Amino acid sequence: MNIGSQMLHALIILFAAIFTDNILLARFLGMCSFLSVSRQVKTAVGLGLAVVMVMTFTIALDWLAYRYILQPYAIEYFRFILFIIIIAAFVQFIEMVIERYSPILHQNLGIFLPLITVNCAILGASLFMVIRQYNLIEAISFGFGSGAGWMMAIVAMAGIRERLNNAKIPRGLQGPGITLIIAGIMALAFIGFTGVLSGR
Amino acid sequence: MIDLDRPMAKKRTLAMTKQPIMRRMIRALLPCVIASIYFFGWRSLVIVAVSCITGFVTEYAFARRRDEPVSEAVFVTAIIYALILPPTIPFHILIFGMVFAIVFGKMVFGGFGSNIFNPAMVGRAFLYVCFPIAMTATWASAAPGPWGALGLWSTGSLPDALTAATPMALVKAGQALPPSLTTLFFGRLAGSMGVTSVLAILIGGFYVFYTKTANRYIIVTVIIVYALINGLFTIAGMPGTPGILPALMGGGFLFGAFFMATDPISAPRTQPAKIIYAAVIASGTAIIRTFSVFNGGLMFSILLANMFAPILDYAFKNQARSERTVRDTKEVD
Repeated sequence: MNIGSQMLHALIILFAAIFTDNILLARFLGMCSFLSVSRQVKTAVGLGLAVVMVMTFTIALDWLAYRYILQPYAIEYFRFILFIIIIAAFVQFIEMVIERYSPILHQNLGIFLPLITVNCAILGASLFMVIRQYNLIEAISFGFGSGAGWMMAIVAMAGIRERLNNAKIPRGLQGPGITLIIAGIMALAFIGFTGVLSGR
Repeated sequence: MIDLDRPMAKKRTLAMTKQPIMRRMIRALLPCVIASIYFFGWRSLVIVAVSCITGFVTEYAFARRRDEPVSEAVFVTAIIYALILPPTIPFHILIFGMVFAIVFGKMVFGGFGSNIFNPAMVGRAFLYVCFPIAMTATWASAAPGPWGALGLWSTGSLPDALTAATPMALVKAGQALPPSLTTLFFGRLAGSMGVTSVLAILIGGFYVFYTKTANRYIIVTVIIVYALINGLFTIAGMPGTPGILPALMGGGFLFGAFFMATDPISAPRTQPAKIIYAAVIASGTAIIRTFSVFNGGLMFSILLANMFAPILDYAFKNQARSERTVRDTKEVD
């Protein structure tokens, strides 16, 4: 493949990861933080940005680790452990760097960074990258797209929940109940994109 | 005994609140109802009636517990929902979807005024996914002749009247040319019950446009953006694009632009957000209708745009607020 068509392919993967194959609304990964941290738009934006950054970098690191550590020794079945270690280490590292160089950002992101380690969307993206046999550029654009898609969904959800602050939601459905219903209808809307772009 | 604690008690005996806007919407939808009877038989009228009754009963069951009256908006939802279904829809599916639309599209959010998504779209999208065969596999063709289907129960029961696909689906698959503009204009073709006739839509559409019942900016933006994108697709020579005018006139697009996209509750409140919202609907429809495996582009993209309406409002309200603070501080200076 020449560079032009490869860039086009990476671009298609990027948009497919955001819209047609949205990791949250089509694959239902990363639901826990999606449900719990979507109460306010500001925090949702903060967490979303953190996810975009962590996902883009860890998917690249995971790709390198998979290609140059696991594959040469034919121990691909270790990928779950290795990917989790890489993600946790990366998040810790980023937290220390941010704490040292930008206390304000650390204050805004502080709570969310450790949360990201247990965000299954991050590990999920890395595992999809293995299954679909992406090359490095494709993997990075997939990671960025998945993160951006996740962020888009959580920010939209936070907007909806802020609007619903004054709504008379039935008592039993307040909180997680209504959020799951909204997420369901969002996923229903995203079904419409089926078949528009395919990144595989 | 006089119940002083409940000043609403007397008013509650009226089961409904009057909503002039919704009254006008219902009036504007009547031409489409008539067209659906004319083309597909009297079963269409029963479908509309059943969906109205189901919607009312469902909302009443919820509203009674809250001591609130039923909103007239439920009839607008019910009529729109009925008009965008295939004329051969079985009644149990019709009722199922309507109950889902009112309960999960509207009442769980706290009833009229707080629903995020357009209930009619929620109901139809739900049916589209749960009953794909009933929703997309068989279509009754429109009755021929000057009297149409006025003497018939349903055109679906005529021999050879069922087709496997609507003209829109055939054009998308590249199996047919778009129908002629006059056919599209009068609407004698297979499709969703009440949205095949551009003439009927425009009669009601001009009424809501003229009386400002529906937001004019949304209507105009949706139509212009959709025409532009379809023009681009046609110039680029994408397969399955019908061209600008057939695209505008086909598939109930105008019905969506006038009656579905303009739902005041699920649309954003701020002006710039409304225009972006309309552009999202139009571009989403064009993309889904051209590339997706599904044909219900308008429905899906309205749900998508609904989903982003609150965050758009949030963005523009914040912008307005910061501009105001800037101005205020300048005045202080």
